[in-house]
Amino acid sequence: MKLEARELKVGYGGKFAVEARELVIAERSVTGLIGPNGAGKSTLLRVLSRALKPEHGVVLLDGQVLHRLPGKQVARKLAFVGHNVDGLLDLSVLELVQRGRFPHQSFLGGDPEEDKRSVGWAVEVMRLAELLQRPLRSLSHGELRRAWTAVALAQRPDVLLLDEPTAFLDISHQLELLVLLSKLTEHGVTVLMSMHDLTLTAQYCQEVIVVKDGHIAAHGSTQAVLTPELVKDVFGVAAEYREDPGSDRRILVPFIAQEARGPADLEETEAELSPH
Amino acid sequence: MLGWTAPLLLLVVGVVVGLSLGAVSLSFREVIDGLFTRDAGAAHTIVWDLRLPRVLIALLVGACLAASGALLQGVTRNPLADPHILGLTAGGGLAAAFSLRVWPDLPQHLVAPIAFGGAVAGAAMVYGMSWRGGVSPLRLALAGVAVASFLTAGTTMVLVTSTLRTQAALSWLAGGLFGRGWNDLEVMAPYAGIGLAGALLMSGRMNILSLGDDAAQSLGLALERSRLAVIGVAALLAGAAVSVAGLVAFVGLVTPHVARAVTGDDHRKLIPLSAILGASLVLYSDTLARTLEAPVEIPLGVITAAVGAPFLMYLIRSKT
Repeated sequence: MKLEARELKVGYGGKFAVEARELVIAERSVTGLIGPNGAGKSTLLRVLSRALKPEHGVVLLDGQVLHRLPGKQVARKLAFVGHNVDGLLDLSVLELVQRGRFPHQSFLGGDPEEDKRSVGWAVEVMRLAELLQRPLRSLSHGELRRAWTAVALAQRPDVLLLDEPTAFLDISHQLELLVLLSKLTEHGVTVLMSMHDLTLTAQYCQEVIVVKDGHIAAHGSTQAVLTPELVKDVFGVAAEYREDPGSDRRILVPFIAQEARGPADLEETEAELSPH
Repeated sequence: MLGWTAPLLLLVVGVVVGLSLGAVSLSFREVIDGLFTRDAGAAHTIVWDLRLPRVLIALLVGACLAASGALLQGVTRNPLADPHILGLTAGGGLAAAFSLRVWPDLPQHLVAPIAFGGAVAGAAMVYGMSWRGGVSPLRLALAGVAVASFLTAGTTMVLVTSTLRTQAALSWLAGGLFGRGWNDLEVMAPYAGIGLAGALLMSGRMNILSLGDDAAQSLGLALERSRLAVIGVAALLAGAAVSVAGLVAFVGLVTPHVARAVTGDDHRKLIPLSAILGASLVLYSDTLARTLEAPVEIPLGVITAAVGAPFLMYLIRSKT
């Protein structure tokens, strides 16, 4: 399903927070939305998810104007996971995920078979099978994040938007979640997520959108766009791709230029510290 | 299922006890006779004319306050919200106090609708104050506390500057069902009925709303419209209760917490169970209020607070 924006201007009180002349999210792939704090990533995600109305321009979902469609109709095609996940609700994981079926249920209920199938799928994709009866309060932050992502998946969306899905997660949970999200493209889901970690972005996103000062600074395939020059320009830090000894991939490593130490420097330091 | 049997049993026992206790104590048999046989004499009069309407009003008042509290705690996502703290009942109190101050001969049957209108106006004030291109749960809670304090101050002002007669007429403000009968029940029943039905119809949406704005938005719920509807129904319920019972504290605050301990955050169960437990709480409290120091009646609000507050403390200590 195609998600695009045209002549988009979103603002708070007359000042435009984000502008985008033309933006087409690549279908069935993972797109990373990166940019410095306050650049407008969250605002852009909110407009694309229908939570925020643009002042000018339109967001189109499958060719239809997103903000004119009924909420439930949109929610059957597009889901959004915010970056705060609530672990205080007195619910089990299963009860929480079942609420993701709301957009498919009318006043008299929905199709119980389809509800069950979709909840089951969401649970399987987010690897929650063993946690189903656990209360939310007892979950780790990583598990909680997966549970809330499963709510969105139970909606059976074609487009999934996530605001900083890896925030506050330790590295193993970050990697786990990114692997799970990457697999969604195999199920035909388009994923767009804001990210802070450039290394992980380079690794897990096929496409990147770079936001700087409220406009789209670059957009395209990660390989073409996420260059050391762009990182320097947008984030003000140096970066370089290094060979990954374990595979033929290259890893993007950002660093502060003055403190940069190449492998040669490190050897020198070690030599100085070594008593021999 | 066990979670429902006990509260329902409690309720039924409460009704029987409420019908049998009083200035004249009746046996279980006399209560049944009084209820179902016309020629039971005094028992019929006592049960049918005096105690039954009051018992039914107590049930409705409790159900309304508790359901209102469950709705408000869900919509503000704040465990401290209830119709009292958020200014809904305070609006009803002020409206009644002010109109009795201005017009001391106001017939009783008009006080109820006025109190009801005040509760709705109080809710509108809270909603209006928290509006800024949309209402946020936090602003809603804070505005509620501000409006409640303001309106309560107004009520106190009216009370201290009015005559003894007005003050007497306003004694129900302290919360109580003294002298309430069938006509009061007739006045409140439609509001209570519509409000309770509305609360039940709203429970599916409440489940989504209580997930927080991001998730509710993602699930396609019309946030502002739903919040307005929930607050409207909560005001209807609070208005119905305050119009016959005055300011009865703690029922709306405590009962949903007790119910939640059984049902969790599932409003499809939480709202009906809250209503059942609230009905019991007010019924038992009212029975105590009229029998404990008979013939003097203790204000109902005093009993509910005396029962409710320690229970809330217990819940706080055991759950957090």
